[in-house]
Amino acid sequence: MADGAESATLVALRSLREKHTQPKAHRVLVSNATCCREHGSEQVLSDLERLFKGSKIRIGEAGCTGAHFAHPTIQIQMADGRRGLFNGKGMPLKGLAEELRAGKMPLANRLVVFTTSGRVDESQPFFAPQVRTSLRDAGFCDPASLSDYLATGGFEGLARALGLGADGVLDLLKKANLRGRGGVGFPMGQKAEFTRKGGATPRYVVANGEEGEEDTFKDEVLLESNPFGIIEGMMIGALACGADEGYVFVNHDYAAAHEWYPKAFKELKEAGLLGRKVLGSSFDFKCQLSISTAGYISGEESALLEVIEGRPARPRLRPPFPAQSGLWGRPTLVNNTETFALVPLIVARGLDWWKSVGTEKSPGTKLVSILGVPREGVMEVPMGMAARDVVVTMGGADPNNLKAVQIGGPTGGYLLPTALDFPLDFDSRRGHALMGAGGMVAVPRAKRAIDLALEGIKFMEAGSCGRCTPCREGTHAMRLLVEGLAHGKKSASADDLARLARDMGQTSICGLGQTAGNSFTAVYEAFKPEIEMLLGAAK
Amino acid sequence: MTKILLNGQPVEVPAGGTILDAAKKAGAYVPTLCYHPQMSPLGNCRMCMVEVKGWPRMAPACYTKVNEGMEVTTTSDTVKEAQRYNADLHLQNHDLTCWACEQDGLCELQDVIYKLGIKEPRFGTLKKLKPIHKDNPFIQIDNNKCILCARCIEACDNVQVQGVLAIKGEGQNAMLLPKNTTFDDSGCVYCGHCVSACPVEALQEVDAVGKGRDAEFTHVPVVCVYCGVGCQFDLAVKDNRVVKIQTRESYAPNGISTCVKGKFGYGFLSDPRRLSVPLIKENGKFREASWDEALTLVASKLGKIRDSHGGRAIGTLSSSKCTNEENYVFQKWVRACLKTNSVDTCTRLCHSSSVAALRTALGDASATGDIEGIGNSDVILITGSDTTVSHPVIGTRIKQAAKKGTMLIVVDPRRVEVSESAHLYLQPKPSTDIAWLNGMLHIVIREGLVSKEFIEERTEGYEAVKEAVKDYTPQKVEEITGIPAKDLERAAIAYGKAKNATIFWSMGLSQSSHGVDNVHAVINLALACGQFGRSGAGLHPLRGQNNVQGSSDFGALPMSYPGYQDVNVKANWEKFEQAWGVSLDHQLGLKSTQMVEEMHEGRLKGMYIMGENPIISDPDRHHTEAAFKKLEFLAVQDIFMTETAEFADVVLPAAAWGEKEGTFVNTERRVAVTQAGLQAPGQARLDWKIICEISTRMGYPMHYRSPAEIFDEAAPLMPALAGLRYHRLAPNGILWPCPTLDHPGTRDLYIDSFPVGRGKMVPVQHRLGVEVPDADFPLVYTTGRSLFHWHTGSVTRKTDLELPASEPVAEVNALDAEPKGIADGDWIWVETRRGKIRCRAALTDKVPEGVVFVPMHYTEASANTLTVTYSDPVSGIPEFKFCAARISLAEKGEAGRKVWGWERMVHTKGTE
Repeated sequence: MADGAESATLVALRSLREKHTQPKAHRVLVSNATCCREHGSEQVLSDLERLFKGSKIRIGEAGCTGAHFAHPTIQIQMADGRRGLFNGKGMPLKGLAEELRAGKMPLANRLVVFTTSGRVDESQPFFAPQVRTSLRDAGFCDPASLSDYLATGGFEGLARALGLGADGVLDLLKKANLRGRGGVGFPMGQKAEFTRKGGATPRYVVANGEEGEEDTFKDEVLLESNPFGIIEGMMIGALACGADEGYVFVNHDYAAAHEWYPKAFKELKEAGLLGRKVLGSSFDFKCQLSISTAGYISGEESALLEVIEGRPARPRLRPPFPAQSGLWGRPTLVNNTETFALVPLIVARGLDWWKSVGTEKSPGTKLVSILGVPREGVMEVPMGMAARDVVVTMGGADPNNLKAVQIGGPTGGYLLPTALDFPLDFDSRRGHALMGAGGMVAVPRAKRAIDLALEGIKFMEAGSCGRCTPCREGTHAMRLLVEGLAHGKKSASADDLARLARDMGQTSICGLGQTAGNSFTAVYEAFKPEIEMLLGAAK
Repeated sequence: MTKILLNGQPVEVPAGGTILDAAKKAGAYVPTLCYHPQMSPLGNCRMCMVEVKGWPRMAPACYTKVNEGMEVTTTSDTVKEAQRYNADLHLQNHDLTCWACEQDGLCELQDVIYKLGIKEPRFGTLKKLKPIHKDNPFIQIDNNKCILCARCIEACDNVQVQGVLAIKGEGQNAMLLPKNTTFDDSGCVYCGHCVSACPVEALQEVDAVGKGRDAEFTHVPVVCVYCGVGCQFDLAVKDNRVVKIQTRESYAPNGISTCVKGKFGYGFLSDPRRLSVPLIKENGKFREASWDEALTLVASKLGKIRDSHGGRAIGTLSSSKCTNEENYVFQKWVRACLKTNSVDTCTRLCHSSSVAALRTALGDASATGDIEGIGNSDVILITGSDTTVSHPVIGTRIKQAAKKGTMLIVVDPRRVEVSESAHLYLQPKPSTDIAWLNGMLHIVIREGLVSKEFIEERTEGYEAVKEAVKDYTPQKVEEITGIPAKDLERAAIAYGKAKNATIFWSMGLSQSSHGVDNVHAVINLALACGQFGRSGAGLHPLRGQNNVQGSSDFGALPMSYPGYQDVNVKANWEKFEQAWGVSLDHQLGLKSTQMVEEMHEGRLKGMYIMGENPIISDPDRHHTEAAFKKLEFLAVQDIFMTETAEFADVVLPAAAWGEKEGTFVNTERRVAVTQAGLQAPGQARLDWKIICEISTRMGYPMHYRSPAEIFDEAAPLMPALAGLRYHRLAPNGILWPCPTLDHPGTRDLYIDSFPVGRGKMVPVQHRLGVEVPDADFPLVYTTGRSLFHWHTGSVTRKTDLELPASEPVAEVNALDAEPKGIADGDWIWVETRRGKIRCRAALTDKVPEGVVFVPMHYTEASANTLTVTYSDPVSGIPEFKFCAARISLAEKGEAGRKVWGWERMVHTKGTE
C-alpha cells in the first residue's frame, strides 16, 4: 500500500469537503422521493416554501426515510444540531413555521427526535431496532447535494480505496464476504475478481436498481435517498475490477431518481469526483443513468444489459456470464444497488466494524420491506434478525390476524405464524421461504390461499418476456389452471401443477421462469390442507 | 476431440462442439425447433433439454458445449417429460390446423409432435385467432402459426444483417412483426431469409398461399438465374408452374440465403408473353412459322453472307445467361461453321476491363478466393460496387464479416447501401479511381507497409509503379478526388497493415474509358502488399450475370477459345482445329462494341444473337438502333420478344432457366449444375439444340445427346477445367482450377505463383472520363442497377419484382434539384447530348452534389439512351458511368402515391 497515495487522495478529499462546508442555519427538508410524491410531498414542499419565503430558514428536498406509513416526512435541522423527524400527513405547517421561527423544535406529529449526538429516540419501534448504514442519512439530507453527502463522511471510502489500489480493494471486498443484496447472495468480491479476470477492456459496472419484483421497494428508497453512496460504491467496485464506466440502472417508475441522478453526476463532475483522474489519482470513471423499460424481466441481470444496449429486455443465454461478456460483450460487474451502497462503508469503517454486524456467513445489514402492516416501509436491519421483529415489532402486525408472511417475493415462500423466528439471512431456508431481496408481505387471515397463488402466477405471467416457451406458455397455462381452481373448477390436480412447475423450473432460461411455478407450489406447501379441501370440493 | 458419454455410450465431437452435435453423431433423437444449423443457437424453444450428470438443471443441447467426460442423458423419463411438456406448451400457442397449412409435411413442429407421439395437446391449441400481417407483395406473417422461436429474427439480423423483424410485446402478447409498422418502413429488402428460416411457415411467401403443400411439388435444384453469386435452391413446381423457391442449408455457396430476385423473381417463366413459336418477319410484321422453315431461313441467310462476304461479315452474341454447354456449342458453331471469331457476350459491357487487366497482371481472369473466405478477411475494401443491390448474398457475407469485426472500407461516389455497414466510407468524385488507388499505394509505400519479400519474389515492375505513385500525396489526391487526406491515410494504413485483405469491385471501376487502368491500380496495391494466396486475401471482381464467368471460360470471347486460349496463337488454333476437325479463322474476332461500329460501316451484314438485348444494354441507344437497322439479316433466339428481337428477321423461341439442364460458373469459379423440371412453352426449344440444328443445316453437323456430353467434350480442352466431368459436379459443384480427374478444385488461387510467372505491376496515371461536365451539361450522369430488377428488365419486369419498382427512379442530390424547382417524387427529364429520358426524381444524398444516377432496367426510360460510346482502348468497355448531363422538371409528382422504402433511402449517417 502506498501511504503517499493514500494521504494524497484523503488530503484532496479534505479540501473538497472544506469547500463544500455549509453555513449553519435552520433547515426544513421534505421527503420528496417518488413514493413520497404519491402522498402529496410536492404540495407540502411548495406550502413550506411559501410560508418561509424571504426567511433565512432553508427549505429543501430529502429522500425517503423508509417510513412509508408517515409519508411525506418532514425533517427539521436546527442550527445548533438538534434534529427531528415528523409525519407530514396532516402536519400543521403554520404552527411548525411559527415554532421554528421562535427557535423551538415542534412537537406535533413527531416521529423521531435525535439527540445532538445523532442517536435515535429509542421509543420509536419502526426506527429503533434498525442499524442504518446504507440508509444512514436516508430522508435526512438532500439526496442530490454533494455537500450533504460529504458532510457525513462521503467519499471517505473511495479516498481510502484509491490508496489501497485495485488489489487491496479486491482483497478487502473478498474478506468482507459482502454478499449480493439482490437476493442470491453471491459474494461481490468474487464477482469483481471474475470481471477483472474477464480480460478484455473496457469493462463496466452496473448498479441494478430495477427492482421489478412485486411488493418489493427497498431499492427505491435507497436509490432516492443515497445516490452518492451507490455511485461511490460503484467507483470502488470499478477500481477493484478495472472498469472505468458505470451505469445506474433505475426502474422506469422512479421519477425522483430520474431527476436526481443527472444532478448528482453534474455535481460530481464539477467536484472532480467523476471523469479523469478522480481525486487527483490515476483512476478515471464515467457514470450515467440508464432507465429500464417496463417489466419485471428488465431487472434480470442479463436482460438489463440488453436494455442498456437499447434492445428489448430479454435474458441472455449463459454462459457466458456478464463477468466474462456483459455490456457490449465486455466484462461487466453487475450488482444490486444495495450491495454497492454498502461498499464505501466497509472501506471507510473497516472489516472489524462490518463483521460486528449481522451473522458470520451473512455479515452486515440488509434492507427489508414490509407491507400489510400498520407501519409499512423499508428498514435496514442486521442480518440474522428474526422475521417476527420486522413484521410484528417494527411493522406492528397483529399476530392474531396473521395468516402468514410471504417472504422472498411472489415466487418465494410463506412463513406461518409459528415460524416467525425465521432468521433473515442468505442461508436460511424453510421450504420455499427464503429472504431473497428482503421483501415481506403480511397476509391477513381472511385471504384465501388459492388467491395468493393466483396473484403470484398472474404477476409472473405478466412479467414473462416471452423469450422461452416454458416460461411464456407455462405461466399462461398455470394461470388458467389456477384461475379455474380459484373459481371452484376442477381444472387441474396438485400433481399436474407441480409437474408443470417442475418443467418450467427445469427448462426456462432465466430465474423468472425457473421460479414462476413456485407461485403455486409454495402456496401448496404452506397451505396444503386448505388447497386439498378446495380441490376436493371442486367440480 | 472431446469425448463424452451419451446415454452411456462414448461419443467424440470436435472441441467446442455442443451436446446436440454429439447427439446427432450418435443418432440420438433430440427434438429442436429454434435450432438451425446455419445460425447461432438461440436457446428459445427449450425442446432440446437434456440431463447432464451433476448439473442442478437440465441443459439445452443446442447451446451447451461439451466438456471432456460429460455424462449426458437424452432418453430418461425426466427428459421425455420435459420434451412432452414443452411440445404441449408450444401447441397451446399454435393454430393446429395442419390440413390448412402449406407447411404440412415440412413443418418442424408437426415433425416434433409426431416423433413425440403427442395425440392430444395437454393445454389445448390456439383458438382465438390473430390477424395476418400482410403489407407487401412478397412476405406475410401469420402469428397464429408463429411459435416465437426467433429464427427469422436471427436470420434477418445476423445472416442478411438487415434487422427488420422484432418480437413485439411481452409474454402472451408477444407477436412477430416488422420492427416499425411495415416491412417496408422497417428497411426490408425482401430477401426471404425469414421465410426460409421459419420452421412453421408463420412467415410465408404471399404468392404461395393456397397453391399447394410440399407433397404436391416436384423439387428442381437450380443455380439462380440472376447474378454471379450463383446461389443454389430448389424450384417447387406444381402443374408446370413454379409455386415458390425453397432453400436448402446444404447448398453452396448460399445455404438458406437468397435475395429478392432469387426468391421472388420466377414469375417470368409462366408469363403469357413467352415466345412459343418461331417468327419470321414479312413486310415489317412477324408471322408464325414452322421450326423447319425458320431454321432453314437462318441457315441459308447466314450461309449466304458467310460464303459471299466471309465470316468477318457476321457478328454473334452468345449469352451470359445461357449455360456453359450452350455457350460452348454456340462459339464452336461460330468458329467452326461461320468461320469467324466474332463471338462475344455482355461481359464486354461489364468486366472486360477486369478480365484484360487481370490476365495481363496475374494470368487468370477471375476472383482469387471463394465466397466462404470472406469471413477470413480482416480488411475488406469495396469500390465501384453496389454490393447489396447487385450481389446481395455476397453483400450479406460482407456485412456479416463487418459485424464480426472485419474492417469494411467502402469507396464509391454513391453512398451505396453497404456503406452503412462500413467502418470507413470514402466518397471520391466520379472517375477519379486511379488517383485515390495510387494515393493509397503512395501512403502504403511511405509508411513502409509494402511486403518487400512478396515484391521481390513474386512481382515485377514495382520500381516503375513506385515512381508513378510518387506524386499522389494524400493532399494531391484530396484535390483530385475530394477524399479527405486523413480518411485516405486511415484506409491505406488499414489495408497496408491487414493480414488478409480483399478488394471487391464491380462495374464502378470497369465501365470506364480507363477501366483497364483502374483495375491495374487495384492489382498494383494488392501486389505491393502481398495480398495473395491466402483465404480472405485477394481480389474479387464481382461478376454480373449468373454465367458471365462461364460464358467467358467456355469461349464466348472474340480473342480466345475455351479456357482463355488466344485464337491468334498457333498452338491453340492447331489444338482446336484438331479437336473440331475443321480449319479455323486465326484473327481476333470483333468485340460487341466493335460489331455495332462495323454495322454502321456496312461491313458487318449478318448478326445472330442468343439471349442478349444490346438495344437496351449497349451505350447510346439511338446509335445502336441505327446500326441494327443497317443489317441485312438479324436472327434472335430468346425467351421474350425483346427490344432487340423487334429488329430481327427471324425470332426463335428458346427454353428458359428451369426448363433446361446445364452448368453455370459463378463469381468464385464454382462450376455447378442447374437442373430442368419445367416444360418450355409451346414449341420453344433448348438453346443448344437450336444452334446444333442451324450448324447442321449449314454443313457443320453437331449432334449431342445431352449437356453432359457437351460438357465432357469441352472440359478436357481447357487446362483449368481439364479434371472436371459432368458427373463430378453434383451436388455443389467444383471450383476451378481443377486440372486432373481426382483434383478437388481450388478455393484460393496463386498460393505459390501466378500463371504469368511474376505478377505484373503496371504504372497507371489518373485521367478523367471523356465527356466532362460543362456549363450546358453540368452534372455527371452515371448508371447502375436497382435491387428489384435485372439488367435490361426483360425478365424481372414480368415478375412480382415489378410491383415495388415499376418506375424508373433517378437519384438526384437535393442541392442540384431544388434550384430547378424539382421536389421529391417529381417527374424530371434527364438529358445528355444524345437524348433525354423521363424519370421519377428521388431527392437523396446517396449521390453527391453534381451527380445523377439512373438504373438501367427501364425501356421507357432507357438509361443507355444517354450514355456515350467512348470505350476503353484495350477492353472495349463503354463508359457507362461517366458523361455530362442536365436535369429539368417534366411534371410535378402525383400526390399520395405509394413510395417504397428503398426509394427513400436517404442517408444521413456520418461516415464513422
